[in-house]
Amino acid sequence: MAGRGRKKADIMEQEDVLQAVIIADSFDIRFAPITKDIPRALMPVANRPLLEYTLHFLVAAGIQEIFVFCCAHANKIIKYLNDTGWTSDKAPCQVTTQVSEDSLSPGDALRLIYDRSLIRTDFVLVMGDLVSTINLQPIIQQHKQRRLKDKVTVMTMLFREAAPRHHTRSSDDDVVLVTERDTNRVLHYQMVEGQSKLDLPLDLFSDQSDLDIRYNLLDCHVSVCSPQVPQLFADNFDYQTRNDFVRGILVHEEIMGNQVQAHVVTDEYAARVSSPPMYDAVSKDILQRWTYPLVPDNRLSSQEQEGFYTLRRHHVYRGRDVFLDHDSVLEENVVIGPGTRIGSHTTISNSVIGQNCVIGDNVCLKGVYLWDNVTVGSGCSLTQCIVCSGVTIADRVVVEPSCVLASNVVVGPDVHLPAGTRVSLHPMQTPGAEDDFQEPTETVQHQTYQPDRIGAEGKGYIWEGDDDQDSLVAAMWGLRLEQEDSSSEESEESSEEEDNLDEENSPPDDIRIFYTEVLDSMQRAIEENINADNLILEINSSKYAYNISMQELNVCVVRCVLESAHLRASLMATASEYLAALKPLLQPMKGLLKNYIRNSESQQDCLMALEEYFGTHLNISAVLVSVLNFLYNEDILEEDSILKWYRHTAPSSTVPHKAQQQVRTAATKFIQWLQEAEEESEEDYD
Amino acid sequence: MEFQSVVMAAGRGSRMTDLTASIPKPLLPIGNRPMIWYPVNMLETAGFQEVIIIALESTSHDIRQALTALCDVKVSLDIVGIPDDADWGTADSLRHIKDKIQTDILVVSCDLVCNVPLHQLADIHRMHNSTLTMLLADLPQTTDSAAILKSKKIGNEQRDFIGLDGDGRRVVIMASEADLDDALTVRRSVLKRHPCVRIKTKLQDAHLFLLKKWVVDYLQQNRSVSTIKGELVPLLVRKQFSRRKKPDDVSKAGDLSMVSPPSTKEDNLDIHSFDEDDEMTVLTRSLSSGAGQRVDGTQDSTITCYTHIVTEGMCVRANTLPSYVEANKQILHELAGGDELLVHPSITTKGKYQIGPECMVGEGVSLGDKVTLKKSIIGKHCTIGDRVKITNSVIMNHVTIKDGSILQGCVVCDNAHMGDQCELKDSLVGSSQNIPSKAKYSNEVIVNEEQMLEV
Repeated sequence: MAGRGRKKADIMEQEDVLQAVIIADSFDIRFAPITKDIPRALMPVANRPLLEYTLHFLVAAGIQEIFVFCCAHANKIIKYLNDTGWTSDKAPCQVTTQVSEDSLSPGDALRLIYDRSLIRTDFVLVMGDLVSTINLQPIIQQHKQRRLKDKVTVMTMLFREAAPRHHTRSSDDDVVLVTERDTNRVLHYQMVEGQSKLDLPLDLFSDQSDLDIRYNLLDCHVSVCSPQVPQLFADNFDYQTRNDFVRGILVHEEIMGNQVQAHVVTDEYAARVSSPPMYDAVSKDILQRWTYPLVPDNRLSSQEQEGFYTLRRHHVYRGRDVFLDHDSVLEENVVIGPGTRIGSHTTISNSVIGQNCVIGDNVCLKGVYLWDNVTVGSGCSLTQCIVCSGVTIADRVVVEPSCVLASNVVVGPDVHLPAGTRVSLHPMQTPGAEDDFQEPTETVQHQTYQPDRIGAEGKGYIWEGDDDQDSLVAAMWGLRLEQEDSSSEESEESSEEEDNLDEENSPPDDIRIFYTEVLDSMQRAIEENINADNLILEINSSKYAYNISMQELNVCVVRCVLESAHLRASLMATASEYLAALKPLLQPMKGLLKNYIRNSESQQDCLMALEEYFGTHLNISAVLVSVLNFLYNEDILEEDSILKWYRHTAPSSTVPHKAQQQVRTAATKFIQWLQEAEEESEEDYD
Repeated sequence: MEFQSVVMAAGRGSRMTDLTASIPKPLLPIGNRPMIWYPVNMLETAGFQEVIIIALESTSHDIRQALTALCDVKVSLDIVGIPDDADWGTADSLRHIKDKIQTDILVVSCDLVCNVPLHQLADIHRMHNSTLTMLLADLPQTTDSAAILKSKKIGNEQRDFIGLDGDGRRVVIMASEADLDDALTVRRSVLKRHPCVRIKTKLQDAHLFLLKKWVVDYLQQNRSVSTIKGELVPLLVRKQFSRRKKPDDVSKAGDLSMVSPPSTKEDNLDIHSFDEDDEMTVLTRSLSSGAGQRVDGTQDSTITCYTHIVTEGMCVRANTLPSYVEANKQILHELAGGDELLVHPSITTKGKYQIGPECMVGEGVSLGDKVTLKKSIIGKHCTIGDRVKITNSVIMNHVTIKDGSILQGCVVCDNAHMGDQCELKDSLVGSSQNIPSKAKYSNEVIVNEEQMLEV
């Protein structure tokens, strides 16, 4: 299929063909379990498959050649494109599919595209879940013009202006951008991920004197790319997503000389259906005609029938042959698909009903998305949920917000589905194997349905969560998912830097000897009351003798302070005895600690040392709170460092994970106090 | 009376010690007038009747003398002396004169040479009812004349990061590069309310502030703030985004008895409590449908910081040697267009001489034969020998320059004496220095030896 219609392409000047790549796979499980049965790109949004919107967006931009990259459910996407005639010769542009079963990320997709050398010119890269009315043509022209002048721009990213907390802003794409005022060149790209503070490196300001920090941008994930982008992905195997790519380009800008440009649109529409809340938001926008001309009553292609939907006031769209009992009310923002029958005394608002659905009497639907061939029995009440094709909901079922009923599920009668319930005909797999992009595996149905929860006639398994899944459900409907990835990346980076500082790693023996030496010096200093400066001098000279890195030194010094207190008490001392021995030591050692623990990295070293020490001496871990408090009061440790340490458990070679957790539990009291104090002293909004 | 004005003239000129070693900073001549005349004149032009000047005790008499006798200033001057040995910051000085402050105040530094109409700033202050309104200007382009002593790195460490809201009036971020390690930290709460912040680094703070009266009361309470620019302004900018404390949550932090809990502030007084609302505001708030009210009962901060950015006209702070040279240059440029007489009629000349358009020659100067002056200022009672060429330079009072010398881009302080055929380029000559004949200097500072040590 990849070779179809090549003749047409050959006739055209190769350089002038506008190409586009649609990544028709989400590589995530935000829509699970729906995506067990159907790829995200084919999910109906306002009764039209999502991919249709994306394709029309590209056709309107004058794209002549589109590669649809599919991975999960590839056969379904291919079949859909064939059935709708996109891949035929009559289509407005040439659409070919590229299948890869083993790609795991958009990065892999682009590497594949590079391997197959499909890209000849500047191209448009979009995700297969985009609904947009942006006129791309001038943007592509600008991109080309810029490339004519200077080859350094490799990508133009599209953003739409949208205030923070705008309903179409997905929490995944909470991005802060720093751009150059005059040129809109992207200088810094950072995901917020729930952080309350953002650090902008000062290097940004060294060349530019006039910058914009923008938090009012919605990332459309539409990028106009230069031909070398797939190659850059191929060269850098660690680029998994476009965000990795952008970050990589910006970090290596000085070396590689590549630049990224931002283009901000203000009046046109663009949003991605990236999660269930976005599905809800985008559907509403379509019904309220923000996406005109992409609205239900407009015919997008010759394949669609004329006058399929008629628009009534309050944004009510009625398909052909809809039977609506005269007592029923379609309040506002409603689409009713053709052939649907609705019983009496039923009210529907803010909902999309697919084709050939049957809805009973006395039903109340609010913010509900029913796909095709759904049956809803009488007396049901559904609020804010997604009900996939072929689902049967028997009589008197109540569905609370944020529920998902995947294809062909049966529920009821007389059940109450609590908020966040997800039901699928596929039993839930272990979280590791449960991936959007895997073909549904036919497992033996050894599990049984739970009639008490989904009703006597119910068919389907409830997907429910252990710890991970709970957060997933929350994330599905817009509660914030704790993202820890970025910060762990950060810490990796910083440790790399430290490694670079000390390329020659001395054998661990050196460290041990050094450690005993420092401990000896310290004890002598305590006994003879030697000035901290002299002690520092002594330690520093030992450092050079044993070729110790700064990090090791920091850890060592902190350990020694703790250890010497231990030696003064007794090795079997209880927490209170130890504290009594430690207290008089801390004050004279203050200068010493201040000398070594100076920046945030060394603070992390210090915290690591504390963690290791109290992790190996768990009986005295209660003392940790007072040590932390002392160090905090003396400004040796900063609040941010402590909180960072507390939140992220770095893997340690010496302390088992369990002990690390215990140490953190011991510190909880202090952390709580710190957080309260932070709230008070900063009196900050969040 | 809407505003009271305060001129801060107690600075020691620590960033240009070579110049201020012999002349107090407020009295350094710019365009043959003492520096302090410019802010005072600006205030007089704006219609102020009275000006409070804060000066070191030792210099206050000279300042009064210079302003009233020599420059004919008509506003009533209230010169407050502060002890020479007290190392006070500008906020400390403000605290010192607290009893004199009855209204909102305008604070200006004595080294500001600026011809911006003050009403523009006042209009912004009135329009937004802002707590703080500050004047910012584009940093002067370092031109060739400021090349003097380029080798000394000046400028970079004083860079300010100023974040402005979309329309460029409201100041939402303010940080000085000197206070930052390697990153500029931006709070998300700021970005939420101002999602598009414009960061400028090439803005210079003109050190001209309009402050609400209650800020002075706050200073009285919170003694840890000692400078306006360095501490008070960043504090106010930051506090725009904090919320008023509820009365009951003061010191909830207790309860941790092992080591004494740190007190989060030196003063537990909330800055917001000083900003008392008038009846009208309270009424408005009670009638409005929740604007400024948070769900948890706290209120939005009422502190607001605005700015006026000078785009045209002159605005230079003469607080470093290059900016001092720049100020002189700009004054010449500014005056050259006007009808003021730049060359004093009392000069005595011998033979031919050439004075360029942007030049100023003071009272009682005597010029030798074939003297050429370009873009320079010659102070009072100087004696310039034959064939002397002076370009882009500032010559203060009672300087003698012998025949055939060439000066380019130099600053020569009072009573200096230069021999025949000296050639000086981009150099500074301290007061009462003797430059021997045929000496050649480039990019050097020629001052007394004990002063040298300080350099």
